[in-house]
Amino acid sequence: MSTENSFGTRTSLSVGGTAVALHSLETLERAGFPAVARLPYSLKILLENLLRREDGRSVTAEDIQALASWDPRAGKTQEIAFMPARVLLQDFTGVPAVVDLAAMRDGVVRLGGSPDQINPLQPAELVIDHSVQVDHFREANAFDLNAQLEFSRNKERYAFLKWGQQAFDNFRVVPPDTGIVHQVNLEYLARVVCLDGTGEGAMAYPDTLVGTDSHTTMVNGLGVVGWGVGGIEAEAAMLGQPISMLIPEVVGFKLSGRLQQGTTATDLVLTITERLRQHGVVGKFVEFFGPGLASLSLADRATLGNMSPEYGSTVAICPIDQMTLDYLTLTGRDARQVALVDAYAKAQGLFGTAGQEPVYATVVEFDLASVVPSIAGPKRPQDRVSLDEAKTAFDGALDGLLGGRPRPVGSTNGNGAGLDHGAVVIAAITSCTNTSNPSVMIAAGLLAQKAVARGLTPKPWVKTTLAPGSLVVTEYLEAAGLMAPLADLGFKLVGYGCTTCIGNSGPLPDDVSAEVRARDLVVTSVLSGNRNFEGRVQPQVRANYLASPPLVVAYALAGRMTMDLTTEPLGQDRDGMDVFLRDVWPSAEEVQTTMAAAVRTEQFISKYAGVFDGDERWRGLAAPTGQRFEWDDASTYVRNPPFFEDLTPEPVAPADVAGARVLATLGDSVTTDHISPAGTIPADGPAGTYLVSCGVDPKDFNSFGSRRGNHEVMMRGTFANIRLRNQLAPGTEGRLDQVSTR
Amino acid sequence: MSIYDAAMRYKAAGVPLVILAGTEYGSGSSRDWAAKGTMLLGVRAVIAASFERIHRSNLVFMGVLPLEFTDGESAESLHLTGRETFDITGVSDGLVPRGNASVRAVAPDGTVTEFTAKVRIDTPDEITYYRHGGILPYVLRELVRDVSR
Repeated sequence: MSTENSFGTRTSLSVGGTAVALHSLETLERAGFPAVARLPYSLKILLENLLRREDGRSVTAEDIQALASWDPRAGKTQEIAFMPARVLLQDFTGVPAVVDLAAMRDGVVRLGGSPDQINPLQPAELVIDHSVQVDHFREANAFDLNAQLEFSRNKERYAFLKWGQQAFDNFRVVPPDTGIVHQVNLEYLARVVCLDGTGEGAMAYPDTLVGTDSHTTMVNGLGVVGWGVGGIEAEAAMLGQPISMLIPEVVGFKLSGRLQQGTTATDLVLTITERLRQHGVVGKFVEFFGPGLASLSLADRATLGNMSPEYGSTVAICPIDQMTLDYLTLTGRDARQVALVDAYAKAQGLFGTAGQEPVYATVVEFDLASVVPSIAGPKRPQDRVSLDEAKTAFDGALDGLLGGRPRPVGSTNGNGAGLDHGAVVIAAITSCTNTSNPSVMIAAGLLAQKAVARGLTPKPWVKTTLAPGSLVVTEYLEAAGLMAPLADLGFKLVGYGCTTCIGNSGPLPDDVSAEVRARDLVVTSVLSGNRNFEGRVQPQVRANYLASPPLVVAYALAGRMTMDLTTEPLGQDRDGMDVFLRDVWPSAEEVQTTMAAAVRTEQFISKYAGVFDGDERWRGLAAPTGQRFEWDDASTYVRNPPFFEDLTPEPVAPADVAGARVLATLGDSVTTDHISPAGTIPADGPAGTYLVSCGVDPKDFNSFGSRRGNHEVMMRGTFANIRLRNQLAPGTEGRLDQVSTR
Repeated sequence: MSIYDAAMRYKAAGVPLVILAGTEYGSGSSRDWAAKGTMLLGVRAVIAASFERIHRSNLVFMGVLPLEFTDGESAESLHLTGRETFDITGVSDGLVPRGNASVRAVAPDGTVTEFTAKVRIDTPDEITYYRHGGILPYVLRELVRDVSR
């Protein structure tokens, strides 16, 4: 790694008797930059990145000077380069990224280069988590059946990724049915502090990353700076191109107090989402600090980091402290690695915020004790509703959800007679957001245990699923004796992957689906995820609510949003006595005791020992070899994209735009989900028609996300979301009524 | 007609396309296919009230021009219906980070609306990517040039 070392910051540090090299922020501070001491944590990490990458070209001494004397409150901005230590991918975004890299190998050859010029220069790790769908649930072997279907649907993509693993340097794949990328990153992949080389003189530096998934920020909980970027930017980063960015405005989020009994990290994160969306943090970094931070477990902090994109912020980070070190130890990280993190963070002024308070652009004060049990929905994560207002809020939202249609007679919401408006048809314990947090998972298990003991059962129309983000979760739930009661309530394991959180909910049961369609019902889902945009979770579900895992279980029992869980009974016990949520809600002490006994380091060590190995299905999968990929024009999953076909050695600058027509006129808050949906491919849309013309049966369409290696499908899916309202064609969704080519 | 079919007809007729949008355009996810698909449909520019971070940069990385309404204007306040024909100047030369482009929209009845839009290409590097038709063509050219140097 070449560096100019203009400020003489390259020094050494003793870790367990071995001297490692580092670029010292303290040395820089003493060299005439006193402001360094009070830079926010995340900016210190960006500053170290500049020191280590100073080459006089991408990073100059002036860049370093600018950041080292940065006044976060001055309201100026300046461009800097950031070179992440590694790149994280998941399979929906990872397959097209590897497709692009493969196409670039062809492109480089066309321009007279050699294919090995296209190789990741730093570790790129891909976790396959986005493909498993929930076709089977509540069955004893639901997990195995879903995994089998997943393999039969995705064989081509998986073989392609296996090709990529052997073709590219520094590229590793975590096979399917192992975990969710951000949870695997948190529990295993994250280094927190990296060490290049071994022995004396090896270079230590902060772990940093970009990931091809918005929720990459989950690892911010560990003090690792990183965020989600598009696949294209990640590919450029892999090939050594610095991420160009403006020095961000850093908002300090000052926590005081403690969470009250009965509230969870999920309630907290939904409340913060609401608060920060109001405050406005789009494009900014958020840093948590203050006396309340010490009361938040590392897993709580990871939940806060996870939902950074929902706040709108680029990063939502907690500095390294003792909690970080304890978590690294708990999750089985090597003792020498923990010692390195400890020594490095302390030497660099990156440990805790006990000393001088950093200077933030603005500070938002927040009292943890103000958090109440909450859910968020029906369409946006920032639309928090306190649990005791959920019933009236749904009633208030219903007319909007009906889209102007009158409420059908005879379906007064709230009669509770059966499947009706407001019915919860999906209750999913899923998503890295929460399954990474043992306290809420154990709470869900304990609530299930108490509910089973009282003889409660979920409503028959609820599709109940459990899809954790790592193999460790089921280990500790099993150890705590909580898998059985969860299973009794229908929450059987359906997979280790994103499932419902990204729209892989699978179909509703036939009878439920038919009734929803026949009566045009506004039905709901409750999931422990981070996203609830319209049309995302399941095409038939119009309203989606984010909630903690124990509330997901509670809503499965209630079976409808049209009930106040704080005052109305969840059901009756065997003696006909009403059972209320408060009767089955576990205390914080119960959760703590169970967690302390059940969650153990050995579980992490044993489950992560073979994390790159995969099961027999993966190991037995035949994959092509060689440096360049042999494209198959008959493939409906992996096709050579047209991006580099007409590549000339010299660029042709873009011309002015003349005589352009409008393809779509859109309203506010159009999401990338609207522009390019990830879920179901409608059979009657252009993508579906294309696939049928290629001989693909609609039952084998799989999802848009899984077809991103085929640009023919993706082009046809662009702006085709069933919920996109194109004002050029009022009354229709995702369609255009006329073309004017003059 | 589906958006795709419409885009393909425009493409066959050699007509460039634009998208008009409101605030927080492209929020929610780092999904780069939202930008790749937009580019492959033949969209040259997206004119929005505001963009979310990742999608904005993805558009630039794919060589699509993100333009922002200025002075609190919007498609609505300018009475743009989407039936207009658009000319955008200030792109082929004079493009600077966060600079301005001039947009001229001619409605079917001949009404001309002219307005200034902010070019949401935010950094000098992004200007370079845009001129190369995207970041990946740029990186490829650089890699080949580094070796032949």
